[in-house]
Formats: sequence, C-alpha cells, structure tokens
Amino acid sequence: MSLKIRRAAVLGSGVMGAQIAAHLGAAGVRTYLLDLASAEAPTDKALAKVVGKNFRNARAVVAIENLKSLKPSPLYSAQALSNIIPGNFDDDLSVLAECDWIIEAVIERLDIKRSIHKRIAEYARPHVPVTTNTSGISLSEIAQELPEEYQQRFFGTHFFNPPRYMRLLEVIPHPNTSPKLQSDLETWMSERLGKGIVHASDSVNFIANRIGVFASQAVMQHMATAGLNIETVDNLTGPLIGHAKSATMRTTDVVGLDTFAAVARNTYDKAPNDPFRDWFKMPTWVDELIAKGALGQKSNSTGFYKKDKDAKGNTVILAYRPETKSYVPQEVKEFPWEAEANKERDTVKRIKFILSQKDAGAQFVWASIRDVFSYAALLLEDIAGGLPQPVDDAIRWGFNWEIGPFELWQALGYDEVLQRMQADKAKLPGWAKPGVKFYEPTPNSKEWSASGGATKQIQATGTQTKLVAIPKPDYVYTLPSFENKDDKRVVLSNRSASLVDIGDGVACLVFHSKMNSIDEHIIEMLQKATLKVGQSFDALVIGNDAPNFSAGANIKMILSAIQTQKWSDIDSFLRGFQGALQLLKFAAFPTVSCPAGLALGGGCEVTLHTTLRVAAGETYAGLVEMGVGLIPAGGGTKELALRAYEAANQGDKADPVPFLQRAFQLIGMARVSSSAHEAIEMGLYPQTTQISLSREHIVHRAKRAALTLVADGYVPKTPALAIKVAGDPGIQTFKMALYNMVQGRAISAYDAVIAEKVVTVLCGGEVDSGTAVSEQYFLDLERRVFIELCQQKPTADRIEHMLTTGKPLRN
Amino acid sequence: MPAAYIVSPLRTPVGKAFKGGLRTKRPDDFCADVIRAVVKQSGVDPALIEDVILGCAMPEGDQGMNVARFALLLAGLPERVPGVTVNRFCSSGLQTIGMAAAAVKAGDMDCVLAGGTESMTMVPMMGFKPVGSRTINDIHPDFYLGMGMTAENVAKEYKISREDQDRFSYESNIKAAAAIEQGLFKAETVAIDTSFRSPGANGAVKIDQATFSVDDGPRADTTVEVLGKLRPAFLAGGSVTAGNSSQMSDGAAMALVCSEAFVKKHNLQPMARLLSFAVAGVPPRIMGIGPVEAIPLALKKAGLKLGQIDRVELNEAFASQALAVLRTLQIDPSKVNKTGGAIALGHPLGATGAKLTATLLHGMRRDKEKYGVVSMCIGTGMGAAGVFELL
Repeated sequence: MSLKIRRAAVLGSGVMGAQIAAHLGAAGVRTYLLDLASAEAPTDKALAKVVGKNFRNARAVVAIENLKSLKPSPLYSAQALSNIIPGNFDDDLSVLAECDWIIEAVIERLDIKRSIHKRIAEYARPHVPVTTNTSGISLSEIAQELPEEYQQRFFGTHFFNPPRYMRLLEVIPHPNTSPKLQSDLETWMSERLGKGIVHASDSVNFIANRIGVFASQAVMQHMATAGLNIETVDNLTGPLIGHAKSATMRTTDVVGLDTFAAVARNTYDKAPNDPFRDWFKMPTWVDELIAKGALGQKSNSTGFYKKDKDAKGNTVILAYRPETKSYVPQEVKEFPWEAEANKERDTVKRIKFILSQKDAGAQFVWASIRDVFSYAALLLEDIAGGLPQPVDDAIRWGFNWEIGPFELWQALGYDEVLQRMQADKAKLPGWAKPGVKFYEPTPNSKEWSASGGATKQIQATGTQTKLVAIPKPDYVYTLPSFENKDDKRVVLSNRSASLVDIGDGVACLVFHSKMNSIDEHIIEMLQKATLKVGQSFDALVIGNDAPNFSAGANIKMILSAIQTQKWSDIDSFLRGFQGALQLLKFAAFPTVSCPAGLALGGGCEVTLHTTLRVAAGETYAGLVEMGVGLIPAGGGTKELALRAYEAANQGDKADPVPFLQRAFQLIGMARVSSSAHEAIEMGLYPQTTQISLSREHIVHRAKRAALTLVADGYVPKTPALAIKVAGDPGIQTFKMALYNMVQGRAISAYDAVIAEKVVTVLCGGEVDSGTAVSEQYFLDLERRVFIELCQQKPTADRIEHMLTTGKPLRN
Repeated sequence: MPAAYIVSPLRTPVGKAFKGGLRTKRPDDFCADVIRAVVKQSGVDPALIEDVILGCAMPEGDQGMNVARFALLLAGLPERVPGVTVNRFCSSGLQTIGMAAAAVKAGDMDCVLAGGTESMTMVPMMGFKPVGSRTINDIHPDFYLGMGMTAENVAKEYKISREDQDRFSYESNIKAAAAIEQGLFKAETVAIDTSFRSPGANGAVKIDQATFSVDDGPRADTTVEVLGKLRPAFLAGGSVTAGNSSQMSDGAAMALVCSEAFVKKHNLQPMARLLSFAVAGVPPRIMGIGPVEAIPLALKKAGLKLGQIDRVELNEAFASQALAVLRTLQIDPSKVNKTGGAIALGHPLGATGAKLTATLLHGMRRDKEKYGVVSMCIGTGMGAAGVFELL
C-alpha cells in the first residue's frame, strides 16, 4: 500500500509555512496550520475582524488571510483555503495525532526547532514522517536529543520560495532516517505536490543555496576587479548566460539583502574549511546598505536598485553606486560582442561565443562561471554524494538557471574548460582530471534531447569517478520536440506534430511547432492521428513535455490571408480545424488532452474537444481570440454554448441567457485561468477535468485515464441535432448591455463589435427564440462571423500589433 | 371642485437591499403590515375600501401576480375589496395616490387605499428576464441607457461637479442620521416583524424573530473625503459613484385617499389634501431632469407658485440629477429633503412615491407648514410631482 497523506500539519505560519499549507491544501490534503498562541486580538481593526473571537489562533488566521493577497498567488483556487485549518501550539497540538505528515517550519533557530520537535514527539502517531523545512540548520543538530524512533522518521524537506512555483524540494535525510519512508514520501511529494526532488547531504546550506549564493558572491568579487556597475553585472549574468531574468543583483533585491547575507554568513560560520570561505563575507558596501535598511524589494523597493519617480511622475529604476553611496539612473555598459551574442538562441553556443571574447566583460563572465564550476566540483562529494545531477537539478529548479553548472561545463567542452581553469590556477578536486564526462549522453546534444536527458552520470570519490545509471521513473515519457522519424515509437510525423506509440494500445499526439501553435500541419496531423488511432490503437492522448501545451493558432498565417483577401483560404483553414476537432470529439475511442502551461485560443479549443482533460496545476487556459479581434472558431465558442444550453436544462423552459452570460464573459473578456483549478471554477473546463500538480505526470495519468475508459466500454458521443437556442432576442439582450459598456467606456466600440459576433454564435444566430438548430450550425456561425471580423480593418490592426509587440491592441 | 383627502400615510422603515432589515421578508407581506396599520390608525371600516391601488416597479417574482390583491388579502381586508398593481417605475407610489385622488375627485369612489411596495432584494432591477428589442437596438439604443449613465449625462450637461455631488450626498446622510437620532420618523413608520430562517440542530430550521423599526441606510460616519475616494460606478473617468447615488432598498408605504363626504361621515382625521398630480416626459438620455418638467406642471394645476411651497421631498435618485433639478428650478435647498433623501435613506423604487408622501406630510405637520411637493425622476425619461396642502 502506498503512503496515504490525507491530513497534515504545518507548524509555523511564516511566509513559507503558510504557503506550504496552501500547496498541500490545493493537493487536497486537510492541513492544520499552527503557530504560537496569541495573548490578545490584533490591534488592526480589519485583522481583528478576520481573526474574530478566537484570537488565540490569530497568527495562523492572519497568515491564511495574507495568502489571498500574496503575489504571485500561492493559491490555485480560493477553495484550497478551506482545506487549511488554523490553530495554535498551546491548544491544538493534539491534532498532530490525526496527521499523516508533520512539517515543522518555525523560525530558523536551533533551540526553537529542538523544543518544538520535542513537543511534536509527544503527539505524533508512530511511523508518521516529521520533516523540517530549514534552509541552513543541520538536521543532526536538530534531532540530537530525539529518540531514535523519531529520528527514523525525521528528515529535511527544504521547499523553495514561492513553494507553488519553485519546483525544487531538497530532501535531506538524517543518518537514521528510514530509506523506505523517505522514498515513499518523495514519491508522494513528486506526484501529488509536483516537486522536483533533490537529495542533499546534511551539509551547510545544502545544495542550491550553497552553490547559488556562492555564484552571487563570485559575481560580487569579480565586479569590483572588472570595474562594472550593478546594472551591467545584471545584464551580463542574466538570460545572456542562461540565468534568470532577475540575474544576480536583482535576485538579491527580491530575496532580501539581509536574508541573502544571513545565508552567506551561515556558510562562513559553519563551514570553516570552505574553499572560498572569505568570499562569504559580504563586501563592506553591501553591509552598509543592510545597516541602512535598504534590504531590497521588501524595504520600499530600495536595495541594489531603487524604484523612484522621475520629474514627470514616471516610475524609474535607479541603481546604487557604492563609490558615491547614492542612486543614479542606470547606465548599462555594452560590450561589442553583445549584439551578436544575443542573436544566438542556443544558450550553450551563446556562452561559448562570449567566452571566446577577450575584453573585460567577457573576462568577467568567464571568471564568474569558472569559479562556480570550481566551487561546485570541490563541494560535489560533500553536498551531493559525488553526483552532479542533484547539483544541476537544484540550481535549475531553485535558481531558474536554464542549465546547471556541470551540464554547462560538459556542453562547453569539458577538457577545454578544464585547461583554461588550470591555466587560471583555479582550485580543483582530485577527480577533475582530463577526459571526465559528467553525463552520458552529453548535455545539449541531439542524443541528449532524444533520450530526454542523461541516462548516466558520474559519481566522484577522492581522485576517482565511476559511471552510474540515472533511473528514469516510469511516469516520464520523453516525447519528440521536433520531427523525428528515426524514433521507433513515432507512428506518424510532420514538421509540427507527431503521433507516438506510448504503449498499452495508447498513442500520444505531440505538438512540436514553435510555441506549439496550431498550424495547417497540426490540423493535418490531428485528422490523420484520429484515423490512425481508430485503426491501430485503443485510445488517444494529446500532450507534450514542452513548457506550453499550445499558445494558440498561428495568427501570422491568418494575417497574410487577410492581407491578400483570401477569405476562402480562411474558411477552409477553419473547416479543417473544426472538422479535425469534431472527428476527435465523436471518435469511437476515448481521447484525453494534457493542458499545461499555456493552453490558449486554438490550443484551448483542442482541449475542449477531448473526452477528458488531465491538466497540470499550472495551466493557463483561455479563449483569448478577442485580443486579436477574432472569436474562437475551431469549435470553442460552440463548445461553451452547448455546455450553457445543457446547463439551462431546456426541458424545464429555463432561460438560457444567464448561462450563456458566463460563456460570454470567458470569451468576451479573453479570460485566462491562473491555474487548472481556476479553469474549472470559471466554467471553461468541465468538472470532469482532472488535475495533477505535477507537470511530469500528466501524460502518464492521461494514458491511465484513457485505458480506464477503454476498459469500462467507452461509448462515443453523438452530435447534438436540435438545440433550442436563445436566438435573436438573446443577441439583442446582450447588445443592450454592450451598448452600456461602450457608453461607460468599459470597452471600446470595436470590442463591442467583436462581442456582438461572439454572442451571435452563443445565441445560435439571428433566429427566433426557441428555434432548434444543430451543432453544425454553431460551427457555420463561428466561421461566418470569424470571416466577417477578418474583413474589418481593426481586426487586421489587432493581429499585426500582437505580432509586432506581443501585446493586445485596444482599438 | 371636490377634494381628495390623505388619511394616515404610513410606511415601513426602509431596509438596505440584500443586507438590510427587510431582506428576508416578502414585499406582499410587509405591505400587508402597512395596510393593517393604516386601517387601524385611520379607524376606517375595511369593508368600505373600494379599491387598493399599489405601485410596484418590477412587478414579478415575489411581487408579481398582481401584488396589490395578494397584499390586501394578506392584510385581512374583506375578499370583496379589489386591488390593482400600477407601474410607472420610480413614481409608482405617487402615481397610485394620484390615481386614487382622481377617482375620488371625479366622484367615482370615496375611499381608496393607495401606495407602493418593492423588494429590490428579491426582484432585480430590470426583472428576472430582461430581453432586448432589435428595433430599439437598431434605432435608439440610448433608450436602454443604464440609470447611472443618464446621471453621468446630467452631470455633464448641467455641469454638476463631483465635489458638489459628494457634498450633497454627505448632507443627505447627516440630515437623515440626525432625523433618526431625534426620532423624527417614528410617527410615520410601522415596525415590521421579520424572521430569519437558518439551519438548526438535527436538520431542524431555526427561526429567529426580529423587529425592524428604524431605517438602516444612513451612514452617520461618512465624510466628504470618504465619498471623494469612491470610484466612478458607471463611467470610466465619470463622477457618479455608489456613494452619490440612491441605495437599493426594500420597503412599502400606504395611505387612504378619501372624499370630503366620506371623511366627515366616518369621522376620519385627514392630514392633507392632494391639490394636484402631474407627469411629464423628458429625453431618456437625461431622465434625471424629469422633475424640471413635472414640478412646474403640478404647481400650475394647483394654482401655486414655487415660492409658496414650504417643503419638498425630491427623490435623490442621484446627487447629480437632484442638484440639476434644484438649480434649474431655483428651489431653495433648505426646503428640500430636510430629513435626508434616498442617497441616505434608500429608494425602494415602486414604494418611493408613497414613502416620500408619508415623510413630507409628517414633516410638514411637525414644522407647521402649509404646502409641500413630492417629486421624482423616472427611468426612460419622465418626471412626476404631487402638490399637497396640510390641513
């Protein structure tokens, strides 16, 4: 029997504790959030109202309340809040006896952590895992005085902030931790919480913070030598070298200079043998900023940067100058090779190119990268048991680097990099001899893409390395990201999509066009795949392992048809798309789509036509055609309309207009869900949609769901032939409201034109109220109004604007 | 010419829609309470009431099915007393008094019960199923302009500033709160028994009895600054806010309208005579200026000049339209809404005309005044006014 976590407790309602509780709540776990008992009600009136009579729970109640306004939102849906139950350490510790997992997330002080675990030990049921969310305190020290029975189920679960969005979860075992219990909980956290598990040793600051903070310290060391200012450093250490957009200094501003310094200080204090120990002392000028209270974002956006207003009242971001101790307008120093480097889309090739340059900027980049390689290599055995993958995963998932240090080192050419490091007299461990390959196959190579990452890695010990296998979980499918006819699993393939045999009679249709946008090749493959699956498979899954399911239809193609006035081309494109989705909807076999990331416009329409959806928690779905002056015409408007009529339950003569209203709001306001949960709550996705907080599991779960439908005797759907529609009176009712919205300047006149087209389809055309129309008539209406919109200039302007700026035009 | 006498004008306290004191009580039920109170106070023999004319602006749902007939039957009037529901939106409650008076003056009837009832909690504005007309949308979409937008149009065309609207609204609240504090509405209001039903133990229903006796709309603690911070509710960049518009409310008001002979014969104590009633149309786009046409017309019919009027109850649909009316007709603001208006006390649509009549007449009696006017603007562009003489 697998581990069952139905109730959990989080002790400590700080920013991490509360967010961890919210994440557990979203995963369907009833979670107690406990903190110190308050002696009195909050003085703030609004908070006092929220807290109510039981002020002893004030800390937890206020923490839960604050979740609602936190940005980015830790809540997949407001409903997740109802799974969080506030309490306090004095009155409620007995609830721990109900819990299947207890997470301690109190303040980072050894004495406090020790005492709270003593109290947990009094109440927790035997064998229930108890984990500590610490970022820097040694597990052994916390558990020192605890009984061995407790130590066996005690380990570290280090979530990263914000826990909903950061995939990294460092798991740090205590020497006595039961490997079985640890592994069971890891499986659960991976599948149910969507976390990327990294095994870290019980060493100072564990992996991600030890290496990540060092990378920043290295940058601060070298910026002085190179004479670079803050903004230039960020320009050189951001996306240019595959790091997060916030680069180095800005990241520190976001984290908080004090928090960052505390982590660095912890390494300095607790790791006396650290090879770069002195670098963990903050530069004097940074200490001065901290002393002044300029801690970054949290102190009125004043840290390395300062948010300010210029003379015209526009927001400006100033940068700090240590020399003058003042904030000045930014002056990013440009290096001659930058423009060319930016043209290179492949990060490894781009970094290689930069490292081939000789000027101060390129030297700075090299020195910063070199020292991270050196540091990570020196610490490898100590922090990650000699395995490079945990380090690379930790840095990618915890610091949002595109590529981890060991992956980058090998992709750049291990030996060349090693020689250059040796020439610089960089510190290196004994095992770092010529010819080492951290991974097989080499990261960023074609083989590496085809196998979905490395299959083997080294394990370093002393002066030796040996190759060990990287086990691949059975739920992960490596799906083609380009046309790949060599892959034996590929049944059909064209430049934008492939049909892949994923075993057990299930085929997976994979999109691999740019941003997975819907083009004529995808439509062709949708049709072919549906026919092929009908002949040779039991079920069809539509999914991929790219960041986004699909960003929508290829509007560039539509714009060129508009410019050449080829209305019949648009009509036949739409007929093809509608036809393919109708084939899908009425297929003789079950179909399951896997929305994740963006599922917009045409991409969203695909997901609306499958029997089921298994959506990643992070699904941003919406019918957003309005933004480019169009309406969903692949059957999306029709699907929402049909669902509204069904809900209106016409047998009872209910008025369908209020039901259509909801559909109209989704399309007319181009609403995009902030999560899969919200996609259901707002009425875009049917209640039957399943959600997985783990992006990695969705194709596997979709396959399982499809096979269940097959095993249970799937009954295909049949098209609706007689839907009694709202008709023209419905349209006129919407128009009444639209007129007022235009008059009230809530929408533009052209918004109203598009909205009228949307309601024309939703209401089933300008027919008499109660007229029975077929599903096909809705599709005909979609095409008719789509082309009517294409023939209006503001629509072309909207598409053009979106293509040039990436933002919607309100005309 | 024969006169129409107003006897025992009474009303419910006005409750805020959705959260106020009448939110759980049906509009036919609380109207019945007022009918019983009017009958009791006036001492009229209910069998002699010849008709009940009841105003209602959205007569459907809980207040559908000819709510006048249901309300009078619920009040326990004899089955032989008939009832009719009348709708002229926000003036319905004054319209019914006007119609009753016309019947009395014409000698058709001697004793009519008139007034209005409305629950905006239970029946939404525009009703449960508004349906647009293709003809109107094509030819005159402005006929469908929302009330808030018409108030913006009035503010713009009559140059009523945001500051003036907010100050007017502040004063309405302060006057109303003071009137309540001094108990000035006690004589005109009928305490209403309300009950709240909630889940009880073991599947039982828990019924909490309550009495609603004081208007719950006014905000004594509001300030011009607070009102100034509210965002425009209808037009981006506009000046009409939730704070300077009337509140959505629940309430009912009724009065007896009788002939002189009837009053004398049955020894009733009338408060006033209705001298005249008038309605007039204005452009729907600026419906709020309706009283600008209706008041002069009613005064002319009554043979009075504006200067002779001691007291005015002008419905505050919006501060912008109320100010536009006052300024255009040059009405002395000190005579208007002396105990606050609909911005503070609420506007239960179809009941408002009768509610303002009760407030006007009781106020005039208190302050020993002679002539008074009730007036209001009406959606789709109309105004109504009635001129009363206190006895």
